Amino acid sequence: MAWSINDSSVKLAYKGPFYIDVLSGMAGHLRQMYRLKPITCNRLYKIFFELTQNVAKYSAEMCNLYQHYKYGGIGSFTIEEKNNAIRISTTNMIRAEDASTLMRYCTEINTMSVEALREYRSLKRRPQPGPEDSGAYIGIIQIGIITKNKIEWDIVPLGERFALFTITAKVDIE
Amino acid sequence: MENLKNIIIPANKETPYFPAVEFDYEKGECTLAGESYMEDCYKFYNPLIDWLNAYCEQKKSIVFNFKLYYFNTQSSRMILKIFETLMKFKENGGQVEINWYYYQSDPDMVEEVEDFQRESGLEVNLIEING
Repeated sequence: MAWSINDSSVKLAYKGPFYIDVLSGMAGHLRQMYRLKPITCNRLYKIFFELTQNVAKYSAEMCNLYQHYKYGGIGSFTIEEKNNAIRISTTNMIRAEDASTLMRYCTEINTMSVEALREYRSLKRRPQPGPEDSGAYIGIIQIGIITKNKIEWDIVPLGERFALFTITAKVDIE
Repeated sequence: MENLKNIIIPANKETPYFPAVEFDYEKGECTLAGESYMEDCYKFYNPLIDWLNAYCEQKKSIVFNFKLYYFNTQSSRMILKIFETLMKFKENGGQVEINWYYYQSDPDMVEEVEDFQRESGLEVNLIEING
């Protein structure tokens, strides 16, 4: 995918393998950037890890260069500040057959109130039998609770076997 | 019966995704502190839960301190397992005190802890700290 960032509203961006140490370093930087707005900063920090660890674990594109990391999913993220809100986006390749499931997850989460999402998180915290026991799903529920906004997403087909999945969470600056 | 060995894992700046652990058999006090978002939650938490189960078979009371200021949803599944272990201990006559320390700047944490209380049926002392 071609990638260029020319917008000054982008505060932090990365493209490559989402190794845990990379994420940890970026998250530390994020904390520093927003340290004067601690409530916003905590929300960003939590959403950042849920989004990026989903990429690390579930991206269809993996980097296995360093064997001591369990997850090396490849993707990109941007953190953009505009109109008194911060938007965190991740983009990664997914298998085409997972697209409809992800669309269903995101649509479902956007129809629910925070209280309903908390109930749902409680349900999903307990391991479920079968394919519905997706760690990615509980991560998206958590994002839905913290963001206090609707989740945005986009899926662009990449040939027959793959697609690009972008998910964005908005945090209002407090 | 031989006493359990304490588990002490200090905080490490190189691996901030593992919380510091202090499980003290003699004091009857367990503490998890820092952040928790490691790659393999089961590998980290299962030995702690095994220790806790063994402890609950031998002792009559426990104080559990959570000083976690960030944990991911995978870790939250393991935290719930800790709560469930403590609930079982309580149902068998054990005395349980759970303290959860949270930063004033993290009001969302209160809701998260309330949900752990609801899910497990255990009371938690929420303790606000500055920061």
